[in-house]
Amino acid sequence: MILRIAKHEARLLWRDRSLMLVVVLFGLMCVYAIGRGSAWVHERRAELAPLPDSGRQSLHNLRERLANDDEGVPNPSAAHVAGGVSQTLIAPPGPLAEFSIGRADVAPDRTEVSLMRSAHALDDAPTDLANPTHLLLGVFDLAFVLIYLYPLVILAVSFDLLAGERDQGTLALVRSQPVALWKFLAAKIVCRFALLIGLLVFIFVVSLIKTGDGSRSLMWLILSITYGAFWFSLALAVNASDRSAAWNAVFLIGVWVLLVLVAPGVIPTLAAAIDPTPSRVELVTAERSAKPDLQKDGAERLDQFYRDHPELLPAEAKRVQVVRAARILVLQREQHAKLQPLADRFDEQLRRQQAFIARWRYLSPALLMREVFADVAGTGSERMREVRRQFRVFREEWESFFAPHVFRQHPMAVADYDAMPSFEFDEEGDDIVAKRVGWALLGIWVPTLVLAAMAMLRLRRVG
Amino acid sequence: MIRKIARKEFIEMTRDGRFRTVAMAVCGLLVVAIVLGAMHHRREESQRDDARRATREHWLAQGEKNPHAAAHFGVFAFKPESALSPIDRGVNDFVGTFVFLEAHRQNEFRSRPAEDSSASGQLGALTAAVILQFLVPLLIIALGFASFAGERETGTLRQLLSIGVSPRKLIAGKWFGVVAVLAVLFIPTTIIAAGVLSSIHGLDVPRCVMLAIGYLLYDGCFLGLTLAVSALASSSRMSLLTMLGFWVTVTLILPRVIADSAEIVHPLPSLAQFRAGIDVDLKKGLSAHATDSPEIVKLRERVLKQYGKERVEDLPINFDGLILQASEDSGNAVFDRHYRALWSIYHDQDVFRSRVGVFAPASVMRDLSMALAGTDFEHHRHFAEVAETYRRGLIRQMNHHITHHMNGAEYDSKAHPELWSSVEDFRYEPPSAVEVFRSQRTNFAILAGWCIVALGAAWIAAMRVKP
Repeated sequence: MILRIAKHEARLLWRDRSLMLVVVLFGLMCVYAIGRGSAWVHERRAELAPLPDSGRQSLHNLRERLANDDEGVPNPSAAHVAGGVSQTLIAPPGPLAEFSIGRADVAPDRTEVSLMRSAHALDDAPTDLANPTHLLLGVFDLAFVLIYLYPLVILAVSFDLLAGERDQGTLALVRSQPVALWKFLAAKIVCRFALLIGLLVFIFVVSLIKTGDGSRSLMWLILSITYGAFWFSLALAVNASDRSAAWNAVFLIGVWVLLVLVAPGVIPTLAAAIDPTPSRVELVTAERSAKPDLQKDGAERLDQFYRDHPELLPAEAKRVQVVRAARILVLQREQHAKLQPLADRFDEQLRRQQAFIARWRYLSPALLMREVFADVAGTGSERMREVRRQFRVFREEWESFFAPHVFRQHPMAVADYDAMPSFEFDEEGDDIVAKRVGWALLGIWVPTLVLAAMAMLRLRRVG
Repeated sequence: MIRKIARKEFIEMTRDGRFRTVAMAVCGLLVVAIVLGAMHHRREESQRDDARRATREHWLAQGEKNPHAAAHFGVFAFKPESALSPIDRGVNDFVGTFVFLEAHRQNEFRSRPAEDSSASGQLGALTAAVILQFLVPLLIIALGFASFAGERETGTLRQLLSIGVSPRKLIAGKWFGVVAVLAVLFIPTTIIAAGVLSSIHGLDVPRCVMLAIGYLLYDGCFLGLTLAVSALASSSRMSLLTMLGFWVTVTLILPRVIADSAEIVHPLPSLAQFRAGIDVDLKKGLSAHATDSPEIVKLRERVLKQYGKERVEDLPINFDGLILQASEDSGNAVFDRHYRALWSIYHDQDVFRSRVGVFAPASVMRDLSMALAGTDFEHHRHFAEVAETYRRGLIRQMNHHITHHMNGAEYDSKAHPELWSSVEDFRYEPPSAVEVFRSQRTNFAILAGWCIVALGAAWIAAMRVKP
C-alpha cells in the first residue's frame, strides 16, 4: 500500500512545477557551492605546496658545500647554521575541505621553524590574505547550503502534507480508504526524502571521484541524510498536529530560526561569556617581559647551564668558549619555561570554551552539524588543534636534534644532514573521526526518532 | 479611519500570545547581546590598557642603549575597541588586534581572535547586528504577511472595501499598526541599549543616530515589501512563502555570492606572493650595510659638499645616522607601494559589493552598520596607517639622535634614557562621524532607495487590491 501511495505521490511531485523548481534550485546551489569550495582548495594547495622548498634547498646547498669540504661563510659544519635555516611547515587543506571550508580560511596552516626562533613564535603562524569582510560573511560552501538551505527546502516541500490535502478536499477521501493516516504521510515523506537523497548520493559520487576519500565521503553522506531525517520528522510531527498550512509554515519557520540561526549564535556567545576567549595580548606582553637580554645575561646563564649539564661540555675546549648560538638556545629555553604556565593557561581556557560548546551543541542540530561537517572535512577545531600540536612537536624534534651539537660544539657531518628530521603533516585517522561522528549521529537520531514517535502516536489517535 | 485601522491591527497583533513571546524573545536577545558585547568590550579594553602601559614601561626602562638598538627593541601598538563594537563587532575578529613597531619593517597585524575560536564562528556570535539584520526583518514579515491576504481569506477585506474604506487609508492604517508595534518593542530596547553603551564609553551621538537611521531604512524596506506582497498575493500562505524566499535570498545567499564575485573580479595576491614582492623590492632598495652602493656614495657626496668637507670623519654630524634614515626611507617607499596596492584591492572589492549590493539591501546594511560602528576594514586600515606613521616618526627620532648627538667615532656609544621619554606615547583617534558619513553616502542612498521603492510598491499594490 505504501508503495502504491508513494508511486502516486512521485507522479504528483514530478508534475508539480514549483516543487521541482525548488529542488532544482537547491541542486544548482549545491553544484555552485562545490565548485566554489574546489576552487578555494585548489588555490590554497597551489599556494602552500612550494613554500617548504626554499628551506629545503638551503639545507641541501649547505650539505653539498660540506660534502665538498667548503668551509666558507656560513659554515656548513656549524650546527647552529644548519638548525638556523628556517623551515616552512605546512598543513594542507583537510581531506574534504571542498565541502566545508569551515574555519580553514583563518586557521593557521603554515609556520616557520628555526633553531633561533622561540617556540612561542609558532602560534603566530599566518594564513593567507583574505578580505576580512568576506571572512566575516563566510564562504558559500556545501556545508552552508546543507546546514541553512537544505532544511528550508525540506520544510518547503513538507509543511502542508496534511493541510494541503484538506484544502483540496481530498483528505476526507483519503481517510475513507482502508489505509492508516501515518502510512499515507510516511509514503509522502519517503517520496520527497528519496528525491533529496538522490541528490546527496550524486554529490557523494562526485566527491568520491574528486577526492578519492571514500570513508570520509561516506560519513558526510550519512550525516547529511541524518540531518535531513531530523527536519522531515519535525515536519511530520507538525503536520500531525492537524492545523492549517499557514500555521504549520509559521511554526516551522520559527523552529528553523531558533535552531539554525539563534541557537548556534547563542551557545558560542554564552561560552565566550562564561569562559572568555583568552587574549593573545596578555601573552605577548608577558613574552616581552620574560625576554632576557642576550648581551647582559647570556654568558652567565650559559655557564650555569654547562655546570648543570657537564655531559654537554665541549670535549676539546677546557675553558668554555661561549658562542652566541649556545647563549641564544639557553635563553630561549629559559624564556620558554617562564612562559609555559601562561601558554598552558591560555590553551586550557580555550579548551574549556570549546568543551562548553561541545557539550551544549546537542541543543541545536545545526550547530552540531556545522561542527561535525567541519570535523569530517578536516577543517574543524579538532584538526586546528592537531595542526598546532604537530607543529610544536616538530619544533621540539628540531631543537633536540641540533642542541647537543651546538652545546658540544660538535661539527655537523654529511650523515647528520641526512638524519635531520623533516616534516610531513599526518592526517588524523578516519577511525578517530568516525568515533566523534558517531556521537553526533546519536545526538541527531534521538530527537528525530522522538519526534517521529510523537507524530505516529498522534496520528493513530486522529486517524 | 487610519487611526482605527492602526488600532485594530495593533490590538490584534499584541493579543496574539505566540507573537508576544516571539517579539519579547527578539528584544530580550537584543538586550542580552548588547550587554554581553559591552562586557566583552570592557574586558578587552582593560587587557589592552594593561598591555599599553606595559609596552610603554618596557620602552622607557631600556636603560642606556644605542638608539638603533632601541629602534629594534620597538613598541607595540594596540588597537582600541571601538565605542560601538557591542552593537556590531564587524571584522574585529578577522583583523589583528596589535602590531609590532620596529626599525626597517612595517609588520603585519597579529592575533586575530577568529584563529582561536572554533568552527562555530561562521555566522558569528549572536551580536546585536546579527539580530537587527536577520531576525528583525523576519519579525516584520511575520507581523505583516497576513495583513491583506489574511483579511481576504476571512472575507473581511471585501466587507471593508464595500463599506467604502479607501485603499489608501487601509494601507496607511496597516502600516501605522505595524510601526506602532515595532515602536513599542524597539523604543525601550533602544533606550536600554543607549544606557548600556554610554556606561562603557561616552555615547557617540552622531554615529548612533546614523546607525538608527540606517536600520530604520532597512526595516522600512522589509515592511513595504511585506505589505505589497500581502496585498497582491493570492493567499496568506503564498505571501509568507514569497517574503521568506526574499529574506533567504537577500540575507543569506546574495551577500555570499556577491562577496565571491568580488573576489573573482578583483583577485588578491597570495600571502607568499605579497611577502616575496616586499622582500624583493627591499633587497633592490638601499641597504644600510652596503656602504659602497651608488645611492650611499651619492648621499655622501651631497653631504660632504653641503658641509664643505673632504672626508666623512671631518663631518660635524654622524653620517651613519643619515645612512640609517636613508635606508628607512627607501624601505618605507616599498611598504607604501605594496600595502597600498593590497588595500586598494580590498577597497575595490568593497566598492564592488556596494555597487552590486543595489540588489541586496542586507549586504549594504551590513557594510553600513560596520562602518558606523567603527569596526569595518576602513577603520582598521585607518588605525594601521596611524600606527605606521608613529613608527616612522619614532625611528626618525632615533636616527636623528644618532646623526646629531652621537660622535661617529664612537658608534657603539649609548644614548641617555631621556631620549626614550622624549618619544611621545602612541595615541589614536578614530575617524570622525562626518568622515564616515561621507564614505557611506552611497550605501545610505541605496538603502533609502530601497525603502522608498518598497513603500511605493506597497502603496501601488494597495490601490489595486482586490477583494
